[in-house]
Amino acid sequence: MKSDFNKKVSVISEDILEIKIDLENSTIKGSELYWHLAEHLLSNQNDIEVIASEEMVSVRSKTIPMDANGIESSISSFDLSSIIQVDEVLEIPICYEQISISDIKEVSKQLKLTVNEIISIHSSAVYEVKAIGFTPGFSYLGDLDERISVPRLIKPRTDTPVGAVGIANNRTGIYCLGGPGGWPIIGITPINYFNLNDSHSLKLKPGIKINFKEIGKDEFRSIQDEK
Amino acid sequence: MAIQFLKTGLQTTVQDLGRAGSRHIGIPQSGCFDYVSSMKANEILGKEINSPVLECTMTGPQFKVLKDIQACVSGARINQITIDGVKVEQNKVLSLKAGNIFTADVVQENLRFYIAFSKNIQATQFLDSVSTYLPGRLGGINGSKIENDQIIDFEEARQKNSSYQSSGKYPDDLLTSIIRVVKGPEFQLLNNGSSSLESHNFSVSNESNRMGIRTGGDRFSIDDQGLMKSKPIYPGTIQCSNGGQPIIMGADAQTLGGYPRILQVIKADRHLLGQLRPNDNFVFKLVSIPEAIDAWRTLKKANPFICEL
Repeated sequence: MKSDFNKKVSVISEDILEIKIDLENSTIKGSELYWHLAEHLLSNQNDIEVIASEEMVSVRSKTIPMDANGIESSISSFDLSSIIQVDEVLEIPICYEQISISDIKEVSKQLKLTVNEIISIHSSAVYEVKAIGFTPGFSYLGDLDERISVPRLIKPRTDTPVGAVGIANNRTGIYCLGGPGGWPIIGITPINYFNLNDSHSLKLKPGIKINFKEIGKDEFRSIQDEK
Repeated sequence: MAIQFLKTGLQTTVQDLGRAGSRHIGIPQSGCFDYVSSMKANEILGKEINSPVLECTMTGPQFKVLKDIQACVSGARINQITIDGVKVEQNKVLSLKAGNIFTADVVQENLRFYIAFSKNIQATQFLDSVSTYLPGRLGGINGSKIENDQIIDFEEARQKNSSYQSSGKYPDDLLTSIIRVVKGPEFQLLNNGSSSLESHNFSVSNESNRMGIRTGGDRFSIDDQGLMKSKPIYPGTIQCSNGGQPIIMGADAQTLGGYPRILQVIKADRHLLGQLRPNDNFVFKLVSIPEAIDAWRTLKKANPFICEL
């Protein structure tokens, strides 16, 4: 049975449209709903690509003019009740000890908190995956405690290592593939959460809850060696 | 073995038409920035339109031919292309013999040109594409730009009959002084709306790359507190920083962006973004969605080999 929901479809350009759904009476969070809607559309429509953000799904059609009616009816066949909510919390090991590019000391000065206070605040919360994107596999996690909220770096890095964990505004995030990045880095996880050869095996996706478990350098290395 | 690079040029990478379809997991499209020019080079050689090519930026490479092969150069107008010192033309089938030295020097106007070959460049396949994505070190030759002494190998490729009919006029239509756009989702944050849009003059900043084209020159007046949640973006999406400076997203654009998306470059003009060169001047022209559809049809009519991507 299909769930009832109110949708708003906005045509942006000759090949792009955006879908927002009225979530007022829903227990499902936008980030999770849009992720599942995006996957649903991808499996139902040919010649499109999709992006799920916290507030919408964007669809780009490779063909012009785009098949807006087809996309609309695909949205209508989306079953909200197909979303299985997971309560499990995934534990992510993180090493806060000085890695080559850590910004944790600068963050500590900026916030007037000790490094240990930052670690304690960052590792004591449960976060939710809010969105995947920006660079390959990057996961936006929130909400970050406002006591350790810092702005993005003034000059973004061109190369951030795989597994680096950054913070910015009310989000923390994991750089799954490395690449450019503008978030101050405070730690690194030895686990690669992004299997590039299989996009369906994403371990982190919107709706999943996580927390960070502090590990030392030795444990970091031994987990890395296991791989 | 087929060619060996003696000079690399400013930034020479292997590209095809990219990996559209994995944007939901943060994978940028990549691929030839000016894909119309790369498709043309492949078409002239009778190659599949998606075949890998060399994308050359500003200055071209010099390479030694190790085994006979055909090539074709399309895109930005190059000052001079030579084979063993003898001048040859763009948009023509060039027969390269073992021992020849091929040289493409600097572009006279625009920015990027493409070298297609009669055989397929061997490069790293990732998500059905060999396109190089430099920031993530994916695809291409070791995920990076071509280096000195690099040897590129080729494999046999299927040939088809070329249907390319040259219009006989040169240069190619790579006019970048007017970039046509439609309103973006956050257009309403611009304080003067569409009234003064077309009177703003922009220049291309030196800090531009395949991820994005930064602009200098005029600024928009925008009402943005910088607190927006990251929103979906594509190649051709124009974000505007709180300072009012537009940034046009390029072929390697990230998938989510935090600045208001004030405009979207229409599909018919997106390939031209790859030809905007630092210090070039341009203006935006606002068009309607039906006009954008017509513009794409017109482009396809003039270049029947273009495929949807």
